[in-house]
Amino acid sequence: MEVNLRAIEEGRKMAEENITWDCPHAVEARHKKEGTFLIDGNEAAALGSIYGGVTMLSWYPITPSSSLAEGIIHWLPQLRDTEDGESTCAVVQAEDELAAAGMVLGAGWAGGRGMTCTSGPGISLMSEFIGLAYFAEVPGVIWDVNRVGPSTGLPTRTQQGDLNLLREASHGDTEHIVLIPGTVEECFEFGWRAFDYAERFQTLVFGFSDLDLGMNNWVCSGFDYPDEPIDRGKVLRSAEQMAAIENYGRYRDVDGDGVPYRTLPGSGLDPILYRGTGHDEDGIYSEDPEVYQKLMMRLKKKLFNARKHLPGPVIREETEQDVGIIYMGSMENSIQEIDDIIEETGLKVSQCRVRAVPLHPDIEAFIERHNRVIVLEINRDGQLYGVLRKELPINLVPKISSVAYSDGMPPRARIYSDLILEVLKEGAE
Amino acid sequence: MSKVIKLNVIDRPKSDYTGGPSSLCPGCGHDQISGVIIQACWENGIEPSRIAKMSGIGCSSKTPAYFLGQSHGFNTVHGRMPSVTTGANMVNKDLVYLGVSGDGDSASIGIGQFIHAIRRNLNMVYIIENNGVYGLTKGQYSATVEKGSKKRKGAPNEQPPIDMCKLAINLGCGFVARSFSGAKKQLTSLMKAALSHNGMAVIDVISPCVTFANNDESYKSYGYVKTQSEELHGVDYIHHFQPMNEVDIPEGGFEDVELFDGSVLRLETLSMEYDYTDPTAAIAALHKAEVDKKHITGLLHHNTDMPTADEDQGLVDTPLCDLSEDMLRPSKERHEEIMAIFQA
Repeated sequence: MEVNLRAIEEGRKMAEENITWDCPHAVEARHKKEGTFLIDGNEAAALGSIYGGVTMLSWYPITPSSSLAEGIIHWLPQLRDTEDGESTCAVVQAEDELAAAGMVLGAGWAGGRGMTCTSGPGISLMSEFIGLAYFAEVPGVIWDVNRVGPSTGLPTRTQQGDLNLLREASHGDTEHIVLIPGTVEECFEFGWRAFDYAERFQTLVFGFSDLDLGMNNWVCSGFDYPDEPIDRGKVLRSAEQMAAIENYGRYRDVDGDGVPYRTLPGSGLDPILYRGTGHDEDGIYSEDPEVYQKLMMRLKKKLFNARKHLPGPVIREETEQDVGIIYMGSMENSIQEIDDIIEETGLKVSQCRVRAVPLHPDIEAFIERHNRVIVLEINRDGQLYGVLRKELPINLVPKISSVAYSDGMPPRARIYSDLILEVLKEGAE
Repeated sequence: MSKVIKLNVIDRPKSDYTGGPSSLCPGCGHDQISGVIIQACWENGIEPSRIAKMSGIGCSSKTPAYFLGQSHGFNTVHGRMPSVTTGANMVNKDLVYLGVSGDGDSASIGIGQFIHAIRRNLNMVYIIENNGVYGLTKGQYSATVEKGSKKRKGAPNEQPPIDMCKLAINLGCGFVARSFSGAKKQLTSLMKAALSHNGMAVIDVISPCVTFANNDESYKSYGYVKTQSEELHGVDYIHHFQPMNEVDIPEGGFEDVELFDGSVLRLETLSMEYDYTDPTAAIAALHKAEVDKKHITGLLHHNTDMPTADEDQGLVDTPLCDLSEDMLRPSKERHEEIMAIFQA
């Protein structure tokens, strides 16, 4: 410590005496705003998960998500232990990401609130289990704190490159709910909401953050206490509840919303063998073509119905609807600067931040109202643009253009605004 | 005259423990093991709803559909049954976890999860239905097949086997046994003892594949096992609810292994001396059997030194899946205190 302090002093003295550099930037101390504090997205998501009633955390260390798990481990004793110091959440450091995902499924199957956190390479490894959770309809939560891919990529740099992976992870026809926080406040909020969605829709829910949001400190004025009680979804816990349902079957769409009822091991109610193989409405093995096709269409309906219950977009709209920008996640921290640079040209820019897929109906309406829409994101291929192209009505597709750029660094506004202006110019010609 | 139905200690007939019809090949060793599971759970008087049947992928992993029809189960993915069981056990420690796997499922793709479940001392019974071949994919060798053993078609296997019992003992597993699907009495006693054990109990059951490896050159065929295996001891299981003075005392030497729930596994001395408490003796005996091209069966090792994975967590008494909202979410008052600390 002493040596380090002396080195700083010596360095400063040397710079004062020897460097004559006309630097265009200056550093000034800022007064701390009353009631605000600094926190990173991973700790915010950790706190949110604790408020969401996580009962089993399994994890395998990986940059940049390890601090999310460590945040939960740090806060659990203070926020969730009983007065006698007994724990209400198990924590298992898994042998690998495959096992971490398996534990999430086991916890969800047994009626707990299981979660894990990882980054892109971990999601690749977990994909087999993700498909099982989708098909057998097991709730669980997985946070992906995105780093730069493909492969090991740039492990300590940031990107929004995993959206496609999360949306459709695993073989066969699959799709998953992805929550996309753009602020530390949303990391907290989606931290607890993720469990409610997972149990309500009996499926895996992803929290999709990135290194920039997850590991850098951001100013925060506090987290709102959850405004809804915990939602455990359609779980039958007594013989009376079971009797109230006519012709019960684990996978029968009783309510017409695509979400069936389930029972838990230990309850003695409708014991079935959960399976990743084809199954009928009672959970019995089946390869019947009609049974399979009907099951897949119900799963599709379930996820389609979910979209209007998921967090809607945050829209900041101009009265003149020249240009709309659709973006997501940590781009929130640069969007106003990008907007300002474009508005210097005289164009009016509206913003629409996507906060979940499947896409909320309000996003479609936003596109309808604007002349030109740019889909802005931190990756090479325009993954959010691809999701929009796939999910939008075909007549709206020509209105959207992609601006996707990724070099590993957090977004610098000028790069993105220049690219947007270029695309707008091409469109005008 | 009405037929008298025999009930177990919790007044349930054996039919409460049976499952659906098997779709395995007639004569498959796995079906014999399913029968033993039904018998053991019934005789031990375990409430069927308290049992969770867990499996991976393979012929063996299909069998949870054929026993304990009144228990929930999860037929997971290949080699991953231990991790799913771990997650379930963490949120509901009160269930009896009965895992069924095979040599393909556990000794190859799933060997990592097998090892780590033992390392954590996951509280479960882990049954390996071991036939040395992949049956569902039509008879390829698995990693437990002995060097020199030959399946019905093709060349003899040239690679050394992975002995799952040796592996488990090396990792400190507290209950390790080997048996044969055809040895109904021995297997039932060992199964009941495994169910009475607190912590990981591994039973490796040699279970002949009648379709692909039941020829005499296969070391895991009925014919080979019947002539080339040796029992370490006679095994007799004495229920905790059975008065000790009603149990016959064997004529020869015997040793009683006290089990967690108060039951006893009585080991009767046969031709050899064997110390089930000494892991190095077990490894040596297994090594010698491998060299001699023989199988040894019985309770290979037992110790109760380790806390189980769930005990290690320091959890509340109520299973976590049953916690109410006030236990799952900090109160609003507590939230305001925490926010005030952040904002200070």
